Amino acid sequence: MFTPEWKDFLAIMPSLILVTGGLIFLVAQFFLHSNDHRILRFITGFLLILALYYTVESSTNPGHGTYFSGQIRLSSITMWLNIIYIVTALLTVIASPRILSQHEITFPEFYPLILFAVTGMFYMTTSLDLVVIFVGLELLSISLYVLIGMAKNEMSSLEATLKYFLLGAFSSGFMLMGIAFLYGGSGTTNLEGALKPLYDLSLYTETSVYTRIGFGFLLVGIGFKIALFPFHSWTPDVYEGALTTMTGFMASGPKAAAMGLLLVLFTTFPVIDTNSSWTYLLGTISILSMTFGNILAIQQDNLKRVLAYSSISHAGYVTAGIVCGATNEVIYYLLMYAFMNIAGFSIIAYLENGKHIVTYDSLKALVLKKPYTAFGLLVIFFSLAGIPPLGGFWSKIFLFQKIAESENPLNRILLIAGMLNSAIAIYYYLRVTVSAFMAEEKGESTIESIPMSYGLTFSSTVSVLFVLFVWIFYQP
Amino acid sequence: MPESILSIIIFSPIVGVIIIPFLKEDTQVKWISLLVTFFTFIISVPLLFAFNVNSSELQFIHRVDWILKENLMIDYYLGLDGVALLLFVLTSFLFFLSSAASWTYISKRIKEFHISLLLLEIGVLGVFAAANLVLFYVFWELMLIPMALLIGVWGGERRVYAAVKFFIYTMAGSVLMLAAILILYFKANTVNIEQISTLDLTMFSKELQLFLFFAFALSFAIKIPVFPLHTWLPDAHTEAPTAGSVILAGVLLKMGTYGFIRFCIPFFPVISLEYKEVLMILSVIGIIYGALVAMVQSDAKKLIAYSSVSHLGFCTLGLLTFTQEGVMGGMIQMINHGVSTGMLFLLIGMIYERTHTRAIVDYGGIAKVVPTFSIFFVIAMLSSVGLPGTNGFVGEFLVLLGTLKVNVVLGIIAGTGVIWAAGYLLYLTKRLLFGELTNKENELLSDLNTRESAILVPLVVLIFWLGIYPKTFMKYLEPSVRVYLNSASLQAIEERSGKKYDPEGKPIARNYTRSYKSLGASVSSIENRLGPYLGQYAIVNLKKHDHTPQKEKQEEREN
Amino acid sequence: MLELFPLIILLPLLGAFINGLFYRKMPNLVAAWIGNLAVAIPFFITLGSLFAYHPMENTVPHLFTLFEWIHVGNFQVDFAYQVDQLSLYMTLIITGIGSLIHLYSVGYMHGEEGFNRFFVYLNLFIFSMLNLVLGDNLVLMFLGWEGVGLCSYLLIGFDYHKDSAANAGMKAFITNRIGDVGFAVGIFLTYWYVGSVRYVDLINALPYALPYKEIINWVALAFFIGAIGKSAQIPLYVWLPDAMAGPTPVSALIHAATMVTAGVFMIARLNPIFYATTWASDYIAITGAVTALFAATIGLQQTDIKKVLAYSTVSQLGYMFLAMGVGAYTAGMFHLMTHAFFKALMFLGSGSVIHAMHHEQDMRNMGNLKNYMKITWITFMIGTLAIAGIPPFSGFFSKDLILEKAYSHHGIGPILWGIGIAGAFTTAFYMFRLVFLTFYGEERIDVHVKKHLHESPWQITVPLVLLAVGAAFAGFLQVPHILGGGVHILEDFFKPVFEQSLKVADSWGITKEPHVISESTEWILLLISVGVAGLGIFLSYNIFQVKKTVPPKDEEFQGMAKVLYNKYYVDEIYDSTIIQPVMQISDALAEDVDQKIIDGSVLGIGRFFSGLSSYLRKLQTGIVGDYALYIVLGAIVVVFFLFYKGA
Repeated sequence: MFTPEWKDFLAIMPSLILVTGGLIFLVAQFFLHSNDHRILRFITGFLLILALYYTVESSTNPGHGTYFSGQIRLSSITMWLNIIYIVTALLTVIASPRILSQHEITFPEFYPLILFAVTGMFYMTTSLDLVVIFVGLELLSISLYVLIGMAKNEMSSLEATLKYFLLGAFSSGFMLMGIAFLYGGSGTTNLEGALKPLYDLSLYTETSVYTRIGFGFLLVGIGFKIALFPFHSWTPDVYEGALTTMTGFMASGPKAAAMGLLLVLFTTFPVIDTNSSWTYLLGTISILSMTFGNILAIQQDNLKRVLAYSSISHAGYVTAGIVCGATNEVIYYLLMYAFMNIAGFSIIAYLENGKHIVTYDSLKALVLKKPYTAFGLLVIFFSLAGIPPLGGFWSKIFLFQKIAESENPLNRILLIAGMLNSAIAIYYYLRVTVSAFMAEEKGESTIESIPMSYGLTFSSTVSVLFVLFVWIFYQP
Repeated sequence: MPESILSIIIFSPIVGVIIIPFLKEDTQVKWISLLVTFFTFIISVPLLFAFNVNSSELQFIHRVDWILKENLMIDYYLGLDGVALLLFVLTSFLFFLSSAASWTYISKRIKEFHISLLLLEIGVLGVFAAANLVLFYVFWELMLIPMALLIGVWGGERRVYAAVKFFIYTMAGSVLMLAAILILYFKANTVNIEQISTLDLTMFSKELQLFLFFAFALSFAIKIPVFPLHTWLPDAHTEAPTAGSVILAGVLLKMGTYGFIRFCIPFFPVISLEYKEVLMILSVIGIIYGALVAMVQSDAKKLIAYSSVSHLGFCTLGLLTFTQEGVMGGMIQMINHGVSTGMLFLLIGMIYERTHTRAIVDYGGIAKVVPTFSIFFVIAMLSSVGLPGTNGFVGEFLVLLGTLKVNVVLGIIAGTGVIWAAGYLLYLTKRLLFGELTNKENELLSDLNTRESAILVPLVVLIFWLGIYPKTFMKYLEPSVRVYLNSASLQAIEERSGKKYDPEGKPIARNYTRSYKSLGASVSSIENRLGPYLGQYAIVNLKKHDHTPQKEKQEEREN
Repeated sequence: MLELFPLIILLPLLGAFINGLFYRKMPNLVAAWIGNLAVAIPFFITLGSLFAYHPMENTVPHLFTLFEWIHVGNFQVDFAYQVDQLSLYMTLIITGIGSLIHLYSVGYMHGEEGFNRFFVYLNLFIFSMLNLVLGDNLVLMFLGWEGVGLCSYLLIGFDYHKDSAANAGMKAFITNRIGDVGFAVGIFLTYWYVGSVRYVDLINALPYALPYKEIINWVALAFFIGAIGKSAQIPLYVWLPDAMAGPTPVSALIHAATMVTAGVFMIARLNPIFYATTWASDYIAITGAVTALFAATIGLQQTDIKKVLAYSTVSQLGYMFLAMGVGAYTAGMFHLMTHAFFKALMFLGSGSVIHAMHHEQDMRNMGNLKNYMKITWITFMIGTLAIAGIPPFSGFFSKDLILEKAYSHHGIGPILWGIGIAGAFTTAFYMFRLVFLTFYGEERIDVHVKKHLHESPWQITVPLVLLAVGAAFAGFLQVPHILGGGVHILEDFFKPVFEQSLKVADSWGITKEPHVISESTEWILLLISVGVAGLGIFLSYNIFQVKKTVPPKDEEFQGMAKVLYNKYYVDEIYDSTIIQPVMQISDALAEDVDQKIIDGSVLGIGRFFSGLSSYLRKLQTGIVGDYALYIVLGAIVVVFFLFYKGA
């Protein structure tokens, strides 16, 4: 019989804080009826920062290792992932109020749900037990369903949430099935144990076929969350439908979580043998995803959809990295990518001003009226395109450098494919600059004078500065 | 000279970038930009005097351990060798002129213009000074955005199209280069140019070398541009504002040739020797093709753009002859083209400011109205034609000299390029300046003012200086030429082949490839250097044959 | 005196520089003085150094270097000069006749706009020409070579506002460029075979060049192509007649006396190479002879006084090349000098006429000018007699020498001689045609012109007289021994230079000595040549003096006359066979290849992707069912893949 000690609790302290915080909110809202969410916001922020503190703290105390009898594992990877979740959540919370008010949403549950989502992500990547992972994943998904559907009075939002809910449930089914098979194959739900038959041929029995199938289903489930081709199709619609800041959150936090999960799966393998069938499988998938995402983005006009597709292709890059055994590089990439997304979507949120859709045309000659916004867009989009010396470039170069570090044909193919893709991608990333800087006649977002919002400004500025300068001091 | 001098020069434009946004008046902006570019130029001139022309190694090295990571070690590493130095100074010089030339040309969004200009300068200077591949790549791409903006915002009618074309073309080339850099790094475990130029080639399989070489070559070939990758150039040149065209012609194209000199050939000598014919033929096609197409252009700027294709063909041709003469010619030609074509673009820009048309038919006989302009134009034209005594001659003559050595036929075909050049340039001059003054509007044209003349005079001085006493510049290029030739020599290849012992079992001494510096050793004859690679069409000096004249032979027979 | 030699080269440059810098403000008089002194002083220095050099004894050239130019590897070229018999000879002609023509120009260009500019160009020309003849290496000669080309471009197009002038200048430059490429190739080959471009090294290396016996022909040919361009031989002569668009002094200086003879000089300078060739030199001789006759025939029907002289120049240059081809270098240089005298004289004479007649150049509107301009008339007569080859005028001696050498040449000698004689006859005929139409017969002069028809000022007449003296007596430098013992000053003078070729040939064990011809044969040849000249004169006297025939109007020319009047339609043929096709090709390249094919394919890639994109878009239906379907399909693939392939 296992009895948790103090250090076990320390290990999950961040999640504990967030969960309790969230619960208190839910209860609290019954007896404080004020539409002024400022307090809530501040407390949420405070909680997140506290969680952040404990996340960093946990790397030294209790230190890396496994807890709760091998159900929780802390490592530098998990720590960084958690940091990503919390930071994105924080920025989203800061960015959101403007858009909420614009959509006349009085929705106090917003804040607890964010907290729950973070907790879910936390368990997705920190846990070593498939069941816990699944619980975390569901916790995240459910909160997301609600968050996407916040704007009750808007069709698009509801449609989005419905799509996401149906398909999400669908994919969770696959995932669950995968877990079941894995259990069947190995008789354990512990990650390492469950995946052992995949590589450890000493354990090779007829049952290990279940493991393979299970692993396949698991991949499908994760692939859905990451939005890899061909499980990507929900992304553009949902991204478009959701409130823009929420989209930013989804594109950075949960995506990071799902990729983190994939990463964790792979780190459980003792050695990445790049010739095994599933690396080839994932390699192919990643190439397909980046190509598909990029090519579809070319014809899009709606910036949110563009970013959705670009997120598919970026998912492809990262998966390629994971396949080739990159860890820190992936984390670095995810971090940068999170910031780019937050910034990008915050700026879009600012421009659409709660009303219209931001397209290339509406950005025309933006620089004349809103030079700083235009500059921000320029930085973000070129960074997404991976143009030096912006953060996006460095995250990319580190990732691809890892991919290049092998004679293996797969790696070479992935490298070339990735590079060619970034060449294709240039085209649609460039269009923003073209219309924002080079166009003569003014687009609607340009003409209309938009009141400035501290939240959006803060989140976008912070992220842009991060993308611009952090690479100088901090590399993986 | 402080150790960080290069960094200071490269990043001094930042000052302007920071100040300009806070200025109210346009004139202030212009002045600041002018001063900053001038300052950059002035502090880069002393390099010429401090440079040690006897040493082939990189000089003014500024090295800072920067991204220290166990699996990707990039350090901030700047340094200049001869050719880079000249291009470096030329860059700072041309940017100063362009800033002055934009004084009245740019009427809208002056702040942004000068900011982009200064950012661009940082990028270009950095490219020539970067001494490790990643840094090079960073600067190489860094200059993309401001250049695209220059074309796309302040350009002509089809500017957006031109800008996008320019951007995507260049990008498409450079992504593969990045891939190559990464693989190279993985193999060689360094991105340091000097080390890569001397390390063993055995670690790369032949196929890999091929891929890496062409990954680099492609991006440079697009930049130069080598036929048939040139189609972005006419559009970019035509649409860009004067400053843009000047910089594009003056230095940006040189980044391509510079890349060949610095990376492609020294890194992969075997491939470059095996495939040199292909590239030579492409260059020759470029020379003739560019000239022919230029001849029928109706747009003055487009005409000069195509002439650039032709001139750059001479550069690459010379470099690929691997003869001392040819390579020196190619390098000198890079500088020449920067000066002459830059000047031509300045002139076209100045007259465009007055007439707002680039169509040649709108001119004709304006020599009477704008004599000073005409004199400058004729001088620039002649230097571009390659008249002896002007810079153009030295370069083209040496290039053709070198080419004839390795392949007479190619040499002669390329030689005819000189005729075509005379054709389209004189034809242009005639249609612009001479004949009756057809267009009535041109009767009221004002001649060049003092500012404009002041911009042009230094270029004229350069044209004749380069043409009459090129030694001043060649002495900087000599070490680079030696490095270039030695690194692509059989000896170097042998030394880099990883073998420790030659067939006789004697240990192979690393005479050339001990270090980057030793690559600058004195150059042996081309026959020794290239051996079989020289090809059967090469001319053999008659000293190689038996020396005794007929008469003495007869005497010998009689005795 | 020799140590002053650098001045000879620098002074003209200085003159050009000063005049050029201040050409706006400078008063014409000052500019004229500067311009003239910049050539006159060098002339006297040359005279001095001629004696200081002792050309008759001294055999080693006097070399001096100003500063280094291009040094790359073995390729070492300096601004270095070589003073020997040949270069002194040329320098004398250039500076001597040059200064006369400068003086002449003061009078001729008086009051013209661009007076100062004119002197800038003239001085610049003298400078380039001196580099051409004095340089001690091929590259420096090339500098001069293209330099004079530039000056001729600028001077032909001196009235740049006239379309004709501008075009003529362009034509001249480009045609010359074609030749220059040949010259350059020659230089390259020489460098790569010999390892140096200095004449001295070249001559020292040639004895070793026997293994390259065949290639030498090609080298020589390359150089000769250069000569063809510059010296207006078939097929590149077309630029010279058009070049008459330039002011008359230019025609006299550049397109008669000096520049066009550069090709001849080049062959003389490189005589060892040409002498050593097996077939190239014959080719040169044939080209020369044919050109001589061909151009002469065109001259028969021209009505523009300057055009006639232009074609006669081409034809006379042909004689020089004939001489060079048959290895009679002395004869060639001899004719070069005499021709410089009489042709410059005649051009200046025609200039004086044109000046007097207010830029009327058509001989159909002249006649009986002898009563109005005595000096011009007499001097012109002397020139004509000289070119016609009437003893004792200079032309007789030089031309006779050439024809004799041609006759005695191995193999094709007699044929060459025949062509030459035919040329001589034609020359005599059309030159006197010119004289009779201009100075004799009834007046066909416009009345307005006639009012102030007068002899030209002294700046014009003095040069005429001086040149006439030269044209009359220069011949006595080299007199065939059958006439009065014989004088061979020139032969001895040039010995050191032209011996080199013999040395080389000797070291190769080949001999090219022309077969000796008996005195009687010589007499016959001599009499024939004088005879045909006389015949020509007689005929033209009959036709134009007695019968008073006048050339018809442009459109009324008939038959052969029409063909000749239109110069065998060569320009038209070139235009339709070369220029137009090139232009069409360029158009095709620019339109189809560049825009459609190359750029099209590049843009095609872009279109492909956007097309693919809009096609794939159809997958994003927005219907959940489809999305679910994709997922299922994906899942099936994944699972089955892992199921079968195994881990």
